[in-house]
Amino acid sequence: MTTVRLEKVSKTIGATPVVRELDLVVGDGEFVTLVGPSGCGKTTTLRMIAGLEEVTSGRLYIGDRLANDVPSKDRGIAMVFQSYALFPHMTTAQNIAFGLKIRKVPGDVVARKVSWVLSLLNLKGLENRRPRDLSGGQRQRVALARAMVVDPEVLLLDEPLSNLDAKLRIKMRAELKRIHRQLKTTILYVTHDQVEAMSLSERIAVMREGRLAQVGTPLDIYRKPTDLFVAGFVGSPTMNFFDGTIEQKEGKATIATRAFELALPEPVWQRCKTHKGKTVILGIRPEHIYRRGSSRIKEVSGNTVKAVVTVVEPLGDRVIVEVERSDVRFTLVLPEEARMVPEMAVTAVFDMEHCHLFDRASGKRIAP
Amino acid sequence: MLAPAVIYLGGFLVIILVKVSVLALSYQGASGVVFPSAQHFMGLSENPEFREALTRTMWFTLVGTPVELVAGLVLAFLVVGDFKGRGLVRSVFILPLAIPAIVTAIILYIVFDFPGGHVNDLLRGCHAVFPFRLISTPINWRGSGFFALMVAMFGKVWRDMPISMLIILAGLQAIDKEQIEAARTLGANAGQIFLRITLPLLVPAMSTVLVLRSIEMWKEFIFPFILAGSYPLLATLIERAYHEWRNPNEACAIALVLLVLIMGSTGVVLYVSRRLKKWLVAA
Amino acid sequence: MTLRIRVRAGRILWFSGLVVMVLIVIAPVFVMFKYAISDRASVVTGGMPIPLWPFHPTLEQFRGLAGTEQFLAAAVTSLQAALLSVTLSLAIGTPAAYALSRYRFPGVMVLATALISIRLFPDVVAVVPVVEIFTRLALVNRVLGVALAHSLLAAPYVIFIAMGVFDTIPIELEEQARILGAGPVRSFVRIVLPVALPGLAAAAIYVFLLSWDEFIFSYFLLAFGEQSTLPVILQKILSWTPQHNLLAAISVVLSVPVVAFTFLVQRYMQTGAMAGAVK
Repeated sequence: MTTVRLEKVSKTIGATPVVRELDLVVGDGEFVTLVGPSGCGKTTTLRMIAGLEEVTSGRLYIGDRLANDVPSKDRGIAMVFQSYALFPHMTTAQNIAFGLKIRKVPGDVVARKVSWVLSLLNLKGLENRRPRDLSGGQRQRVALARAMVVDPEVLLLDEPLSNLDAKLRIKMRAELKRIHRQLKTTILYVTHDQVEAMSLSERIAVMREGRLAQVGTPLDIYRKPTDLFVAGFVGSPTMNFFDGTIEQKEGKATIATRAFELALPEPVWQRCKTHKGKTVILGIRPEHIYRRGSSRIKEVSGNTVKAVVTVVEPLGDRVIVEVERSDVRFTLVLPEEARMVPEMAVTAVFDMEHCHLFDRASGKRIAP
Repeated sequence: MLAPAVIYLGGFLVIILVKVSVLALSYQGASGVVFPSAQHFMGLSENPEFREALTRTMWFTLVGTPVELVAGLVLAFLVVGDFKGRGLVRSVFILPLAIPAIVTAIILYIVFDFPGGHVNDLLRGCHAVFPFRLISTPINWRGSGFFALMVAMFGKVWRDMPISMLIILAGLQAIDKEQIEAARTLGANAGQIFLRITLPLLVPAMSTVLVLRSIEMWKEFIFPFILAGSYPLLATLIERAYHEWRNPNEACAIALVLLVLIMGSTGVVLYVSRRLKKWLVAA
Repeated sequence: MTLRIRVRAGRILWFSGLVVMVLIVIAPVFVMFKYAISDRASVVTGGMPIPLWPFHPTLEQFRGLAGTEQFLAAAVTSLQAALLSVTLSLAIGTPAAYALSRYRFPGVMVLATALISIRLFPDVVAVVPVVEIFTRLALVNRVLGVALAHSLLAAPYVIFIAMGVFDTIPIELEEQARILGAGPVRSFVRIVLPVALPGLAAAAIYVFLLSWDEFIFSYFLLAFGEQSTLPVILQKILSWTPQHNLLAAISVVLSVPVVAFTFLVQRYMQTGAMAGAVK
């Protein structure tokens, strides 16, 4: 258990910058996830912390120690690879014991620790199996066990769940949370799956093109994405975006898109006054648009839009509905009872308290 | 880590190329060694034995290479489908590869013996399994240039056809079944599928076979050496020049001619197969 | 209806093709075994057709060979040359293959292709210069010379096979070992080597067979000396016009290990030692 601190860490491969001036602190015992689309530099960042890639510039601290040039075996870290990297010629027990034997841990201690980690991860009874005789989920747990058994101060996980099927993934997610609560190891987790990141971590670091786009708790990131990229990356179904112009008529603040006009609540208006008369991007999550009659929010003048249903995607208890008005399309999530069919007319009620406004040129958040 | 391999292989290659060129281009004249000199090549061009060997080698390669390809295609298409005992049949078809070339040559030497070999016996209808009397007097296989080289070619093709088969088979198995099914849903019949999909996709495999096999045919030594000793090809003429004529320089000159022929023909095969693929797709 | 007839005709054509090709492949092998177990009367028939099955099958040729010093000496020479070739070409080829597979420096594929395509260089072109050089180095008529020449032929294959083997071993295995505290030597010995072993064994067997079969270099290097490998002695005996059953018996001895190992290697390659290591 220790902290990991990155100060302006950069990585260049050939002439291509892969990670650019990354600043990140992972607290003691914290579970932090690096998330982002493929090629954003998250795995490279993890590999630099592991000591598998050299840091081109910047400083990397593990605990209080500058770790840039410390060989990986002395960093107090353990890593689980996306492919698990189990040694195919060794049994489960031999795989797990490998790190301890290399460290010349006495035999009885090895046996005790292996047995402890086997029960921690429900692997009892599989000690003598080879990797090829294990199921995907079992291999994943062996890889985790092999990393845990050396008592790492920092555990690095590189997309450890991406090779599992959807059901197993959800089960392992809970398992990982349980283990983290039990051991309080500092965990740095890499994934491209924003749902996984949201459900697992205490804090999320969203990366894009080698830079950190936003760091915060899952709720922070969901509620206050700092820019268009984070807003679009986090949340499912994806946030709706409209080009709109901020106007003020007869004392009322509105935002006018090509197809409809919506009133801006007072707090939002206070934050975006400066953009009056300018075109901005309005973002609103599908789950913050309701149907007339079923809405939890009050209908006031200027938060309803009449539209026609174009596509309906049932999800069981909910339906994702795509609607259209004068060539402007957006989606909303409705309860299944709504019984939507294409061509149907609906009146959508926008919960503008939950809207997001972004600058069109920089993509940065303006309000609220 | 790379150094031993690079030095050993690269070094040998350079030394061999230098040595072969130096020997081929050095002439022991009355007034000492002349270098460079085309004397050996001029001598060879007027040597009927060399000219005959050159002609024979060209025919041997020109006929043998396509035969190898056809044999490989036939074997591959026979075992590409699913049937009971396919594994066993494939293993049987790989068997020739496991018989040393010299052994194959010796067996053919025995069965194509004169006057009393198995083949002569069979063709004269001496055995109940094949009761047709195709010839009345036994053929002296090794006494005729045509027959001797045919037998040698048969041996070469027999021994190497598993390699062709495996390459074609790999090519066939790399063809996505869905591509063929897609063509079928688009209304193509079996013939069209073969001509338009299978064959063009098989061209890379076939051109690999042609390149490798033509090189092998040009430089073939064992089969003609054992089975057609009196009718040398370029490769066996190298041996004769070295051992009988005691003339390493001329041996190297022949070797150099052979090397140039191989490189030239490989270039031609690669060029033609590239054009062929384009043509098959476009036609 | 017509479709069914066409399908049937296709099946018949396929089956007859299969039978014909199997016969063509099997016949020479059958003839070899038949001659090897033939008694004298079944080979020297005095003008009568040679029987398709010996009158009195016998192992006397093999017994004779076991007592023939010249043959035994050739077998030993063959074995020595083959084992020496395996050692040399693996010692040269394996490290190169590992380096080519692991370090992706610029031009690595060009170098790999160049090293591997040396196998396409015609042996018959190389043989005269090699013998000329070896004569000067006193390597003619010696097992070492033969093994050096065979290693030259075999090393490109070793590089090719071993590169394929190392390529299938994910680099993550070594990285994981490194994180867990193993140095490069231990990681190679404890992780890479055991995983690569079946593949490298296949390469070793391949080299062994290549040397065991090889005729051209062995012949040029040994033709006029005391020593012979088995292929060379077969050719030497041929020039004495011996009985065919003796030739066939030597052929069988020469072929059996090759046949056995070829099918063994085939199985090795299919065992898929890597199954389960990744994903």
